[in-house]
Order: sequence, then C-alpha cells, then structure tokens
Amino acid sequence: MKKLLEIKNLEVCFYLDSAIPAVDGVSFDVYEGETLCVVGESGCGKSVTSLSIMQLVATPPGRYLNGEILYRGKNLLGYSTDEMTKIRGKEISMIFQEPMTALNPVHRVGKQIGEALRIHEGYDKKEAFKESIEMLKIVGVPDPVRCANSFPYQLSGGMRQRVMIAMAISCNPNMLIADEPTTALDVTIQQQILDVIKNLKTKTGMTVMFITHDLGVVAEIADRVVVMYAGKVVEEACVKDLFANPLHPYTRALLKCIPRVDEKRDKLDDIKGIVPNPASFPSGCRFHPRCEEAIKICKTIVPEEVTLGDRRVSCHLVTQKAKECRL
Amino acid sequence: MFDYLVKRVLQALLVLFVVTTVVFILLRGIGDPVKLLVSPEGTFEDYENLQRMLGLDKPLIGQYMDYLSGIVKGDFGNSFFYNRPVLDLIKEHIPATLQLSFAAIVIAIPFGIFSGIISAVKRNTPIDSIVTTLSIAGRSVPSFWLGIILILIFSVWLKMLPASGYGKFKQIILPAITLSMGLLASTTRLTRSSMLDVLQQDYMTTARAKGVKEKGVIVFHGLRNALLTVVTMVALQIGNLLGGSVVVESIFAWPGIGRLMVTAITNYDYPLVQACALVMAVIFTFLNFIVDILYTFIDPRIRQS
Repeated sequence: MKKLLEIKNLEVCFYLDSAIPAVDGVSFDVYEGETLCVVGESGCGKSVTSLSIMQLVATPPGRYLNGEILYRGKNLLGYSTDEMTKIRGKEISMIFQEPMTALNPVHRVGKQIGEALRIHEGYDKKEAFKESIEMLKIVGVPDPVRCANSFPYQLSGGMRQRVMIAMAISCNPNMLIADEPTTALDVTIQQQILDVIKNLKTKTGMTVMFITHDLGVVAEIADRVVVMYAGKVVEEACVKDLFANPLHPYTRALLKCIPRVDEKRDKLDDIKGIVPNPASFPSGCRFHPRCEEAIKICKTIVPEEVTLGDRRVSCHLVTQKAKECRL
Repeated sequence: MFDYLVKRVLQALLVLFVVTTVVFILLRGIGDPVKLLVSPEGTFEDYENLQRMLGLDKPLIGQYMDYLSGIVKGDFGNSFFYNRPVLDLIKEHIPATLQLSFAAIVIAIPFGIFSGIISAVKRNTPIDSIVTTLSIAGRSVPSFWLGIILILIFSVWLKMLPASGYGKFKQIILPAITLSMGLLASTTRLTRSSMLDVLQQDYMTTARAKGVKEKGVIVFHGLRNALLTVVTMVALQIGNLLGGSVVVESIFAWPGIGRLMVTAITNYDYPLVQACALVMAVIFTFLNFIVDILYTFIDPRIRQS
C-alpha cells in the first residue's frame, strides 16, 4: 500500500506559563485507503497531532519544534498559510469533537457546507447551496432541504455531526481526519455516525484517520491502531494483533478497562494513577509510575522503539524479550 | 412579535412620562424666570402681570396638568425667552444636532470596529498596545477638554479648520471628531474583547479547516458573531451622543438642540428645556427600540424564538 501521509518525529510544544511538550517525537504513517485509529487518554497529544497535520495549532502559544509531515511526499509544515488553505478542505478535511460549537451559529447550515465548494471548486452561491443539499442526502439527513435552511441551533447533536461530515466531504478529500467525532454523542447516534463514515469510505475510498479514546469504536472501524501516551507513540499495530496480543503494558491496561458482556465484575478496572502533567513528564518510560510491570530500567532510560514485523512498540520488557529470543 | 412590540411601546411611554415629570419638577428648582425677564426698573405689579402671562401664577399641580394636556394636543407652549412656539425652535435646531451625531457615528463605528478587530487579531503586539492605550485615553478624556485642545491645534496653531460655525463641511470636522471620541473608544474596546472571545471558538477552527483564508475566517465567521454584543452596547452608547452633543455644541457654537437647551437652562426657559429634554428622551427610547429589532436580525436564535 502507498503511504499517503508520513509523520516523522513531530514535536509540538506550547509555551504558556511553562513549556508544555504536547507532542514529543511522534512518528507514524497513514496508508492510502485505510482507517487508522489514534488512541489515547485525554491530553496524550492525539488531537494536537491531528491539528498539526492541518497546521491548525494556534501559534503562539504553540510551536512546531521539529519533524516533518509529508503528504504525498511534500512537507506540509513547510507550507505557507496560503498554500495550506488549498490543502485544507480539498485534500484533507477534518471533523471535530463538539458538533454543538463547531458550527457557526449565525449562518445557515447549507451556506456553511457550500462554503468549501465555493472556495475550492468555484461554485457560485446557488450551486453551492444545491450541492450542499445533495451532501446532506449522502450523509443520511432525512429532510435535507429543510436542514440546509436551518441554523445549527435548530438541529440535534447527531444531525449537526452529520452536517460536519457533509461539510468535510463536500470536496471529495483524499483524507478525513475525525477528531473524536462520536465522543459528544449518545451511543445510538454514535453508531449511526460511524456507519455514515464507514459507508462513505466504501463509496469513495478515502483514507480516514480517526482520533478516539473509545476502544469499542476502534474495534469497529480501524484497520490499524496507533496508541499514544504522554505525547509519544507507545504502540502501533493492525487492529487484530492489537486486540489479540497487546504488547505494551499501557495497551493491555486500556483493554482491561473495557467491561465485557461475558464476564461478571464487581468493579470496573482502571489504570492506577493519573495522566502525567505535560509540564513535568516522568523520566525514563513515561508510563512507568502507573505500570504494574515496570522494572528498574524503566525509571531511568527512555525505551527505544522496536519493530516486530508490521508492528512497533516502545517498551523495555519487549526489548528484553526480543534480545532473549535472538540469543 | 406583536405582543412584544406592544409591550415595548408601553414601556417607552412610561419612560417618557417619568422623564417629563422629573424634568418638570427639577426645573422649578433652578430659579424664577419671571425675575429674570422683568425689567430691573419693573414694579411688583409688572412682576405679577408677567407671572400671570406665563401661567406661572397657578399652583404647581395646575401648571403640570396644563403642560401634560398641552403635550397630548401637540402644544409644547411658547418659549419665555424667544416668545415663539417651542416646537418651531426645536424643528429649527434639530437638523444640526442630527447632522453632528450622524457625522460622529460615521467616524466612530467603522473606525472603532476596524481598530477593535486589528487589536484582537494582533493581540499582545505593539499595535494592540497602541490601540488599547489610545482607546483608554479616548474614553477618559472629557469632551470639553478634547474640543478645546483640537481648536487650539487645528484652528489656532495650524489654522487648518474653523473653530466654530455651521453650514460648511469644514466646520463639522472638529465637533464631529470631538463628539465621536467616546463612542469610537468604547466601540474599539468592545469589538476587541468580543472578537477575542470569538477567535477562541471552535467554529473558527472549523472554518479554517475548510480552507477559508484567514481574512475570510475573521470577517465572514468571526465579525458577525463578535458584532452581536457590539451592536447592543454601541447603539445604547449612541444615545449618549445626545448628552455629549450638549457639551460639544456649546464649545463649537453648533446651533443644535444641545446648545439650545443649555441657553434655555441659563434663561430659566421652562417650556423650552422641558421640550428639549422630552425630544432627547424620545430619540433615546426610539434608538433602544431599534437596537432590539436590529439584534433579532443579526442573531437568528432570537429571531425565531
């Protein structure tokens, strides 16, 4: 498969009261036509990573310190804002977590969807509005004409998220970045939105990068998974391998947290401790204070990344095992 | 909507009634117009005659009733000093005031909104500091002082603009700038804070993610939302222009209703002061009314509820 997007050693730091390295040396590839899920707890840098692709991180306070984001071989971080506007919405689109606030309250929905068409495809006002009704049909809005004439406050959360998707796909982008698009919705609506995205994918073959902290969603739609913790990628694998045989203790802990239908539990499992403060990450492996399997070396030395076939993992335990096997 | 309109009209009428009454009562405290008008050699009899002529011999409540019934009939009485119908005097003077206010608004609103946006978008840069400093200064400087300073600079030293007068375009520049300063400054401050708030909103990121250029994001997506708060506050401030025009018209000898009122007060010209105050109150309430209507056009959420 061809690489559509390569993120190489991305470092994004926010300069507030202190320097906050939100994304610290993140690398992963996105292949054409796949669905890649980026998973992690709040504050692990998954949203900042996705915003960086579109150069939407507010600078200041943020700054891209290092790294490359190659889209079809060209470094997006080297693009000027003007050049970026040609990529945004046309080549790569994005949908966001809060459909309540992500739509402009004073413009009609149809106008907002049509805006991208007017910018990138040269549609006039009327054509764009008509086309936006078509888009709303595609994402399964029951009464698209009325919806296009509505203001966002007149629509439910699920409808608004459909509007967001319609907006994002209006110019047939190659890649859709979905930043926790189902988090703010209730479960039945979540399922509907996931179905919309899945259907679009089969129809258009677009690449999807899906940011989430919900492993249930991951199991449902992902081809491959990137697990992030404290600004770093800790594990990357195809979805089957990840669920069947998680290598990193953090991934294992995450999977343990999911309640199962066939098990009786008094208490849900959780991961002990809290997400570390980005202003002062622990030394060594950033997960070691919360890791039940941590050994001495974890506290002092940052684990190197090990590649095992088509999966990657950064953990001393795995490194040691790999060495033993080789011996 | 109809219920709402009726309610607003009734509210406005109540406000006007209160204004009329308060002005009427306060005026009786400033001094006796008869003493001012009667000639220094006049006898006590002359005084009483004049008092009777002006209708000031009646008890206060009687005068008040006469006044109210006059208003209902559209008769505001004759000016003591000019001995002409008050309404005619106001009709003559109001165009000048409206011109001046309009000129001040034309200066204040566009410049205020523009500089507010600039200073919000360029937050924490030298441009922002300069705009902020200037607007705080503009807000704090009293207009009588600013007017005099402007006259000193542009009329006395540079001899570029006339210090007073009415009728030519050049003559309106200085008074309009003086009058606009407060409104300009508060529009700037308001637009800035409102825009800063809007810039943080998610829909601005959505717009950028769509590929909208930065200018488009600010103007098409940001400005309209930012203006929601600005419109109300600014329109209320426009009412304050009327108060400001009293001072500014006096400094620049601008023949508007403000100066008419000031001279009327010094002359103890009861009917004229009362009518001027009422006219200003009417304009003020009317403006508030317009603001509410305007607001519903900018914010669709209000329009349909």
